[in-house]
Amino acid sequence: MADTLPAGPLEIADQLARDLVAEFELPLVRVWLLEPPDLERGILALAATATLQPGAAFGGMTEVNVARVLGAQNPATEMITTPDDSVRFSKPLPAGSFLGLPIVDGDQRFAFVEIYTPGALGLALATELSKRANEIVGTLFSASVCKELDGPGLGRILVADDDPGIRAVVRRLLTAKGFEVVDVSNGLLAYERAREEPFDLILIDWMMPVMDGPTATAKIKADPRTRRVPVVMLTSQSRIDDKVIALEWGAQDFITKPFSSRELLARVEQHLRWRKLLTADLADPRDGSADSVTAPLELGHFEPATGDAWTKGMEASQLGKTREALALFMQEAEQCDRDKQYPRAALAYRSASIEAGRLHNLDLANKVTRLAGKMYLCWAESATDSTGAQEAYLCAARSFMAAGNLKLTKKSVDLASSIASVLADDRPPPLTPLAKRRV
Amino acid sequence: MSSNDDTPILAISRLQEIFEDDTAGIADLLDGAMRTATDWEAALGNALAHRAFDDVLWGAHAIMGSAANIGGNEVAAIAGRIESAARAKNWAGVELAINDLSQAYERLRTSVRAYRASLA
Repeated sequence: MADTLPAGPLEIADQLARDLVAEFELPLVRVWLLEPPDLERGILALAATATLQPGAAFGGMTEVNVARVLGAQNPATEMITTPDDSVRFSKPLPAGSFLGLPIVDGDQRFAFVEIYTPGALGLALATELSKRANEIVGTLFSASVCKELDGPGLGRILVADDDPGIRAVVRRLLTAKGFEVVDVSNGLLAYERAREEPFDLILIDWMMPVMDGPTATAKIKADPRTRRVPVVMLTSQSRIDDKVIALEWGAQDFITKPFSSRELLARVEQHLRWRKLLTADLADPRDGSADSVTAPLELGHFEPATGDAWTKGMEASQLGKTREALALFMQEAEQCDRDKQYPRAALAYRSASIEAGRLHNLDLANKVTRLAGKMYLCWAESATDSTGAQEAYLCAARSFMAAGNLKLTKKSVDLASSIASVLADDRPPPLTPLAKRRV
Repeated sequence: MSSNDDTPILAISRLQEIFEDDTAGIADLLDGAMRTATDWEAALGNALAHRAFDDVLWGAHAIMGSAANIGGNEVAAIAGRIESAARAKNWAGVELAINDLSQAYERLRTSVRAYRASLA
């Protein structure tokens, strides 16, 4: 997916979660969004994750826990602690606490920061973690975004399906909720229409005459005028392979037909929220100059920095000096690459890609994200244990996916999977029954 | 209303949820789907006659989507069987399922007529 939030709020939240884990040596921090804040209707999405235990398999968030946090009397301040929750981990964790930090934003959004701590928590630490969790979620939330969604003109949606009945149902469903809908009957018309008019979201069928959904999606994603518009594939295909193909061709999501009206609306609203959040993020140039936002940047034009480039880069980033931060992160990454400190190099490239994204330079952001992927590959190849290598390959896959390099994404996933297979087989052989051995 | 194997012939609840009290809108949608169905049935028969797997697959897929959209679950399920058989290049399976499809379509048309009559 070439254009999937290369340096948007998700990346920033992810980085903040990683910082939190590193600073407090926490086994795991995950940030969940439930939109709308209703277990029945909402979609629980993982927005950020960080762990000190690469390769450990963590359990999924259970509905019971979400319900428990949703039921908090005072969600703004209350923490839900469930010390016994470590049983959900497939690998034993040190005794510690689970913290559910519910954070609401009006009636629209609900975030849930899941923090596991290595030991018992004191009040001071709990308060600090709560503050930091709020900071992460603050990155993801934007009050103005929610207000926009409350008002009329929620968004323009392009619907492409060759079946007039399906178009009629989707149109009816969306217009009743205040969306503006334009519908067309094939992929080519969808692509052409998307080039001519602005849309906030495209819902596209898979099998259509003239041009099918995946081809149209690929064209939409390859065109600079349309590539930022999220595409959701409406499909009767229910095979996993088909869904993977849909995502690989650039779709952000898919909905299996016949869809439930609640699912369709929930997904549409969620994608529009993310889009508006991203737009708000990108429309807030911290350099203060419009020129600095649009000016092209190339690799290799950075002034040398003195001292610790990483620290200075972080400082520059926090002060909104995006170009300076980008230069410093690149310098750090290149130095770490030369020193074969691959994880650090990857992290620096990832940070650089965030700064490039803030400058609206998506080409550079993608280029740098690919470099991060390459660093992860180098890390994997030099890893001394299988679990570490597997984690590094998965990190590489994630970076390549974000950078839109499907070939390397697939290769990295394959390599991670092959290690997983080896690890799965790395068990003691079953005991031979005594009677058999005697024979 | 349900077929022999208990798959509903016409499950209207999804459309009622979307169209609320606009029963005329639902009726128009059902009529439209039935008209399209006639075209797709003919196309499917033609594809079968020419032993064209791709066209059978295409037609079955379209029928499945269209029927499921109006709650014609029995037809959608049979169209899904045809699609799977076509994907597996299993002519015997395609032919068997297409026979079932004609009968299921007749039951669906009857159900749609009954629904329309209930509105009068």
